[in-house]
Amino acid sequence: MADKTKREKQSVQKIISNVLYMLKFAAKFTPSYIFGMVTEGVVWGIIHSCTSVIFVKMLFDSLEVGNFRNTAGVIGLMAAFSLVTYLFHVWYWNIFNPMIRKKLNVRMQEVLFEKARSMDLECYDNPEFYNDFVWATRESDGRVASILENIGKLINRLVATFTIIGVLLTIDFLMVLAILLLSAGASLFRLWRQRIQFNRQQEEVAVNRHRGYISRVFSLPDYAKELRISHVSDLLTDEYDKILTQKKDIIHRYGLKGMQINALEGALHNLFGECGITILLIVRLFTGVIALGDFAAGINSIWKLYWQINSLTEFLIQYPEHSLYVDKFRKFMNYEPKVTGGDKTVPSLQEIQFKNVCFQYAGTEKESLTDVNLTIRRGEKIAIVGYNGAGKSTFIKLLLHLYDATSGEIVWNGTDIRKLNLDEYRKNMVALFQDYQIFAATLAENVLADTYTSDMEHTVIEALQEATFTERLQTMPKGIQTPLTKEFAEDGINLSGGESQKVAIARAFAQAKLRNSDVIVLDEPSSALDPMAEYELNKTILECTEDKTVIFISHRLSTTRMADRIYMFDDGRLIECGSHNELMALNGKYAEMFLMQAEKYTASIA
Amino acid sequence: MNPKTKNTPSWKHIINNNFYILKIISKVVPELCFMLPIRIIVYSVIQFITNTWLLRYIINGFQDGMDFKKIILIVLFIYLFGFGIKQLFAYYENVHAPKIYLRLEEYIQKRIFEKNTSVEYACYEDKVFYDKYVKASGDLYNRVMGVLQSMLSFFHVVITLSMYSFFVLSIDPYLVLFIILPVIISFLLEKKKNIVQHEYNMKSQEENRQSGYTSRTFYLADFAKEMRLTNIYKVMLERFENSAQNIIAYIRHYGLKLATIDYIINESKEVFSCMGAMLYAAYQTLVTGSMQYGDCLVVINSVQALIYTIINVSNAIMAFHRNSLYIDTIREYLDYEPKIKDGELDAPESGELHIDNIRFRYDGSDKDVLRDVSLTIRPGEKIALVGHNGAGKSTLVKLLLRLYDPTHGTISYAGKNIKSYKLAGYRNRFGVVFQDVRLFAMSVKDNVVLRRTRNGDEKCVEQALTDSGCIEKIRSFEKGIDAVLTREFDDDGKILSGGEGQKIAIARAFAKENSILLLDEPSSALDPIAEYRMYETLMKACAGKSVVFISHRLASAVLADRVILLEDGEIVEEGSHSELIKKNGKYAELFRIQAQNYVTEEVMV
Repeated sequence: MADKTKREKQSVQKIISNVLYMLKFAAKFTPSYIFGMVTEGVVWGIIHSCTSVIFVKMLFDSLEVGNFRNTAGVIGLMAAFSLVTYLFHVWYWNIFNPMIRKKLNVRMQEVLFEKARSMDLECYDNPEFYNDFVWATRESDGRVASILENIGKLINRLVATFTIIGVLLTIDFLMVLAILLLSAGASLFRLWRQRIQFNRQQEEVAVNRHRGYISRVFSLPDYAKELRISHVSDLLTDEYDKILTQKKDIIHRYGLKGMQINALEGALHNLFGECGITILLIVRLFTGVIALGDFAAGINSIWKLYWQINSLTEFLIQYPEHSLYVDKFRKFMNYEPKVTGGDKTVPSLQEIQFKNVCFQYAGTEKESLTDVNLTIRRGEKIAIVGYNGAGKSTFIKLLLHLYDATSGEIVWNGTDIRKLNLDEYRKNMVALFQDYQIFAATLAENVLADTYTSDMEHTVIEALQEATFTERLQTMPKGIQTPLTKEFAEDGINLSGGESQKVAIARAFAQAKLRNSDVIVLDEPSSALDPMAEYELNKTILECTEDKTVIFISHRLSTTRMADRIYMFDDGRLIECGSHNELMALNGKYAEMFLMQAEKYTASIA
Repeated sequence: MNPKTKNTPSWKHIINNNFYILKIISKVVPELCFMLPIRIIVYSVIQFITNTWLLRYIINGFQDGMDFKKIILIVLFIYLFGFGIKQLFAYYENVHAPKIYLRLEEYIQKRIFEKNTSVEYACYEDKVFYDKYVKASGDLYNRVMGVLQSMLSFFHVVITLSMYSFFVLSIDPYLVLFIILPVIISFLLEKKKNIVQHEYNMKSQEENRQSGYTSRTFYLADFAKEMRLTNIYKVMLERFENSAQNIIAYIRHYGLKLATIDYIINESKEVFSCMGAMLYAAYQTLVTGSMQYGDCLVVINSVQALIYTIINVSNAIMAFHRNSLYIDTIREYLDYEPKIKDGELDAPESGELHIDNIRFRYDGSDKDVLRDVSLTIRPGEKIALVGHNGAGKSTLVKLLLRLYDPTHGTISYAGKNIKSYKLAGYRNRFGVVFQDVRLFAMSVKDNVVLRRTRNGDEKCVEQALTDSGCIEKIRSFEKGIDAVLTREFDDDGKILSGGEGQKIAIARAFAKENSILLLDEPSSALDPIAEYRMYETLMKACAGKSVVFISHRLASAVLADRVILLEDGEIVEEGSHSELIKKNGKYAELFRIQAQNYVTEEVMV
């Protein structure tokens, strides 16, 4: 995702504001991290400069005086300094930093998780928003820490740079000036190289994406069957060859540019820099301006200072990218969910009414639901039928208040649901979706969709029984504590499609009981089941939900006969409504659909 | 599992493994094997001359009272020479070498592609095997480059170290001791450090994988509804925090070990070698007077540069070790012999499929999925496989395709055991539609033919799409059958719904000539009308072809010449629909249950 994001220009002001924004999180969650990082920056910056410059200069000075005891003293001091500071350094990087970094990452991710859960479902329909969001969440594992550590390194380099400059100034002012000029020149080259690098990456994005895709097809289990029974691998290999040609072209063009920069940079670095400054120092030495010790210390420090300044710019140029990330991050943090509900408590259901409800997904040109009017009363069994894309699932999503209607209103016992407390409202409904998920958790947790405590055992087992899962349960040695999927446990069990669906159904039953929900919504509950299991399921649904309102979507019309009322949707409109017998008598679209499905059965029995 | 990877591997084993990779490189791109070392030698020599030798030359020259103009000329000459040499390498580095790397990448990727498609399908269903080998193989190119890099940096260190050793020897032989000791310590301790690091990585990797999963449940759209409507997010959050806690505990545990090792390695370099050498040089200069003042300055200056080089040697050694573990895995994978072996015969265009008393059991399972199944599929026959979930229907299809070989018994095609045919040719006799349809990020046309396109394919593709009932949808695209599917890397790519995807998959089967059609519940994502139309056209389009289809909607079984009812891995009933209904056995019972709801009075009248 990250490679898809376009880079916008980031002003310095914005970058600073963004970095501060993230620092606030670090300050809130892990203040000791900031303290540790600054300390390490200063301590390590000083060690670097001390050992590499100050001490070497002291050493040369004492050598010139010719007193061995002094010299030994300087070396002893160096050793002591190294022993102590390095102790801090290894502790910081091996223990303190990884631990606190992890803590901060966890907190940051949790902040985003919380936000993610409150985001409207609508956000998931907007691919741009969604991609950015996924990127931001993925990156949240580590990004703040990187920003923070970047600051630490910056401090370290700044401390080191100033210390070294201070020492060098005591040797020769002209040399320091030359190095600074050189560094400035090198930074310009770095920026140039950076820009070319960036252009190259832009060109390579598409190529790499394509290449990654082909590798994935060859290695993912999803495609393994198709690769074996067809010749699609030839096609993919041809595509791969095409990509390589493109890649070769990119390498060639940018390689030539790289050569030019290399030559110019080398001239600056080797000839003006290395050679020039060495000659400068030689002249100074021979004309007696500086002593031999200073000469040696000077040669020793040039490259250290040069390196420090260079890496200083290296860290600075990372900030625009960090800032870009923070932009996205802030966008989510500032996002205000639109579906919020109100503050009224939710009374027990008498009836729920759709009044002229229209709905249109953001970014689409056509309404998914148009002028829907209907009333569902307590305890009714309702079937929603229609062809694919008729608006059945959208109807359910509106009912669950996952979206707000574009126009019209949905009324619960006379109150607009937008005025009702959202959590409470949703708790009053239980939904089983077509694309239900089995979570990597224990069977019991999957059924409860909540944390399991031992007093829930009965509920779990009963729900599984109602979903006709008992037989399978008996084959599981760990019973309801069996971990599902192999995500967390080696001995986890991967359920088949039909078995998963039964667990999902059990989830709906258990939830309805625990929350004492008034409404159960079932979206194609039996699609993965064989006829026998489907038959049993339908029976139990009727038996265990006597007083509850059940709304189920099905395109197998055989199941609709048990409904009190059937709503037929077509192209976003509610076109027919009534009991099975009434609709058959009406001889409209429902009857047509039913007869078509029934035809083969009846023909072959008669 | 290779027991070798569990214990600490010997150095011999590690070297052997790294050379295995080097052999691949030298086979594919031999020029790399001499160009890169030459470059390193040249660069190291230039570096040594400018950094160390020149300093000594200047200082000695100063002390001997040389003419400084001559010194400056020498300095100028050396730097210009160095600059010139580097420019000579510029083209190689920037243009030529990257192309060579690309060639290496091509070779490696294609070899992996080939391997991935030649290992039997079971490897993909075995999660342990899959994770360990198939998934790991994707990283091979990076690892090969890693091996190359670490070998080069090792070589670099050796060259530099030997140059410095000779140089220092010429000043004072005892100084060599200060260089050798930290190298030995590094050698011993780095290996230890590596093992600790590896252990830590393995443990935290597992936890990272788990927290990766939980965090996905929070942000992926698939989970969004349940995370909002139920309390399952609490369970996920708990798991997430658990993983984090475990990782922190690992850091505490292993961090201490790593810190200790790090400390010893570093201080032996810094304090013992670096400062030891300085002290020794100062002593020899100031007290015994056996070392010249200039030499002493040179020693102090170069000893630090040397230390930095030694740090590289430990990194290289660590990399050898790390790569070796990976290479073990990849060698096992590349040497893995697929269990489904290729035969020699070409599969004839048509023939009778005969399943003779087969039995099948998945690896690691203790129950037969299929038992004593015998069945003959004659050319042109339509067969419906029905039965409960888990009765073995899909497994039977996989066996027919030789995605697995039966544990006992044989399957023959046109009178010969299917094992005697060339695998690709035999499988090509089938047109298959699976439940889990996968569309490729390619054009509609390519998606239908699934091979290199030939002249005249357009017609065939259009016909197949017409038969499968999605030609209208495809014609609505501006580019028609040349439109690219999925947004994988084309932002204008077309996204098809589940039902449309299934129709494309059905078109695939139609587009193959003379094929036997295998349909594993292709209608599950279709609505009733679409399903009805699909079966209708399917039977029309496949007039002369054999069709085996799996369904649990028994209504479609009526269309078959023969219905096979599988139960618990055995064929319990077999015959035409009317025969089985007349027999009034299990099939009839199943059928009635399904029909019951439809057979209402209105319909009967």
